[in-house]
Amino acid sequence: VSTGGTTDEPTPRRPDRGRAIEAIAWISFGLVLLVAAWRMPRLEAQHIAPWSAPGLLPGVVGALMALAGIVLFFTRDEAAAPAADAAADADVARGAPDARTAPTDPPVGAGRDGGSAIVVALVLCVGYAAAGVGHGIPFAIASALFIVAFVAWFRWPVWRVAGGRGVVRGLAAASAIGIGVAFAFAWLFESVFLVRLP
Amino acid sequence: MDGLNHLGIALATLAGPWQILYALGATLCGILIGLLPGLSATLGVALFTTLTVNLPPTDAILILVCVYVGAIYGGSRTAILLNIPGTAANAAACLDGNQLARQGRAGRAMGIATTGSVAGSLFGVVCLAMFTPYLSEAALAFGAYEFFWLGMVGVMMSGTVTGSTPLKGWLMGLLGIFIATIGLDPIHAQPRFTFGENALTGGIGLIPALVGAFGFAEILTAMGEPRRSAAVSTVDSVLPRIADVLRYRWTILRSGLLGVFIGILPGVGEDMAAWTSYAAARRVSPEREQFGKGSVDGLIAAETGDNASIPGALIPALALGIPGSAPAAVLMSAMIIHGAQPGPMLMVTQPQFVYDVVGITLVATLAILLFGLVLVRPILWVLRVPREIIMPVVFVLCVLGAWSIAQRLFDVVTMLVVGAVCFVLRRRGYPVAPLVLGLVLGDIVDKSLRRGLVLSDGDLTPFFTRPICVLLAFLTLVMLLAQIPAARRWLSRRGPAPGAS
Repeated sequence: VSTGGTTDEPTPRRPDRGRAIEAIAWISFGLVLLVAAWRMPRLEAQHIAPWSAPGLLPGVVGALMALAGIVLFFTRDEAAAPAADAAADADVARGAPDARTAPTDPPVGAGRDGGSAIVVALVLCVGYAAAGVGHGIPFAIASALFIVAFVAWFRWPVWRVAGGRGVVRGLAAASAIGIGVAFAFAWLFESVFLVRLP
Repeated sequence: MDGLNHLGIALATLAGPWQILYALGATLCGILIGLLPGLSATLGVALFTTLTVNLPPTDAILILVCVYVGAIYGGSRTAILLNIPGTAANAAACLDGNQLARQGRAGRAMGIATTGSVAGSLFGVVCLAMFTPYLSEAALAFGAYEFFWLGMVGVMMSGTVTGSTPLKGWLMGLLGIFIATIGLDPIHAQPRFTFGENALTGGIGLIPALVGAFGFAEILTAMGEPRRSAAVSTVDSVLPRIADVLRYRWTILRSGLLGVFIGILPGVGEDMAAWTSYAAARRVSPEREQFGKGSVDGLIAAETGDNASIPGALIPALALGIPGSAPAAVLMSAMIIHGAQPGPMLMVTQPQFVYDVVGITLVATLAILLFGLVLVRPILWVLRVPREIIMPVVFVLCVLGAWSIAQRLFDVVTMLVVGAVCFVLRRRGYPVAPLVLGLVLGDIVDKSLRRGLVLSDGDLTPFFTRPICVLLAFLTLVMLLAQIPAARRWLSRRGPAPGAS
């Protein structure tokens, strides 16, 4: 079974600055690990066998990471797109259809996607988890606000297509989902799983 | 005879009303998780581990195995209807499943997937019951040297097969091993990489890290992608047919064997089992020209292979403490949380637990058969729910999952950090499964390496001269050499012609 999409034919060298940066990052991280492991206590005063020193495996891991980083730096990039998803690439190499090119919904009414969507999702998720949870706001309320905000932001283009009435109906549905899910989870975890919520 | 007694006790325990309810509910949740592209079996098992901490061990493992089996089975629905694998294990099912659906036979394809999944899983359960005691007995002779290599082979294999570039997979495995070393060193209780922080003394929690890697990272990935539309909206009869089992019995048997074998290999996982079974079926099938155009043989091979590898992956997890796949790694961690100690001594100290797992896997198989016979159409509605609604709900569950194990905000922060890092690494083509294997096996690798060196007084020879070590070291060397272009060309000249598989 082939596990990759490589052939014997030479492929043109693809300059990839990102790959070089990755390699340097791995080499640096590996070297930092190696130094940190070397500087760990070796417990000689306690007559501990030097082979059982706590820094042994982290040191080996750091060295291997740095070595792999060097190989990565000098390896020709066989992947077509540097940012491609590895699993999808591997599946395509084995003969599966590329899920990334599967039919997509038309842009109108399809919600938001792309880089800005990732940033907004990241901000909303981190804002909720890092600031909303465990800082005085009851968990159920923080969760309900998060779900409503998330759904509203991403479904807004879909609702807007249906006009003012669509927006009102969408907001009402998002609120119902947010409040329902948040309070149901809070009840489930506190009353059934006996977990003290943040 | 003892084995049958233990199995009888296990099945009697699992026949209680609560246990049946748990099994059905968890399998349904697993199927829904599998249906949703991006939500993986690993995430499902990790999330449910946090929910079941307070349950009795057998009930908790019952729920987790049902989620695992249900997710792998449920992913075939998405593969058939959307041409997108619900989980990585279902990628091979896209090839013929979606073609059958496009020919107006989506229901038939789902029936075939049910047939293959149930047959593969049952075959795997038999192997689990038969081989685990023997492997455990053989593993009693294993020492630190063998366990070091088993751990390394698991991480290396996972890195080799799960991504497009093995080097990136290995780097992720090493990163996982490094993360596993954070906290108190398991031999001398010496703090490592804790920077004086008390929260880091206990190490990075496996479950929060996995919830981040498979949950938060997936949410960010999913929100950045365009929404996929269903290629097929109508469904014909979904009932599995006995005639298919009889007609494709050799495919089922071959794929079951391959699935179990691949499952047993440390760190390889269900997706490779499905691809290997599919490739083997294509090579010998009388209808090989139909493969990729809607072959029943191809679909049944893929689904039998991936489901047979689930019990297969549990065999080394129980007998050696080395999981066969990423979800099995999380399941093994859950077993440890619930007081079981997977490894060679498990058959000696807790033989009943091994047969409980056998019985549980059997119950999970029956549950997917039940959901394959009924509830197919109602379950499909979840595919119509926009991801903009599902993803925030999943994220709330991720936060709860990270929090509920130890009820520390530190674990929520761990989930966020690991998730964000894994999101960036995934965008750069780094697979996450080797990270899981590294995280779970890091402790074994650490302890085995140091114990082995202490026993041999720093001599590396036993790591390369003991019989099992020779085999495992050779396997590692082959995996390394296969990535060197000159060695690969040399190997391919002596192997089958390109495209033969």
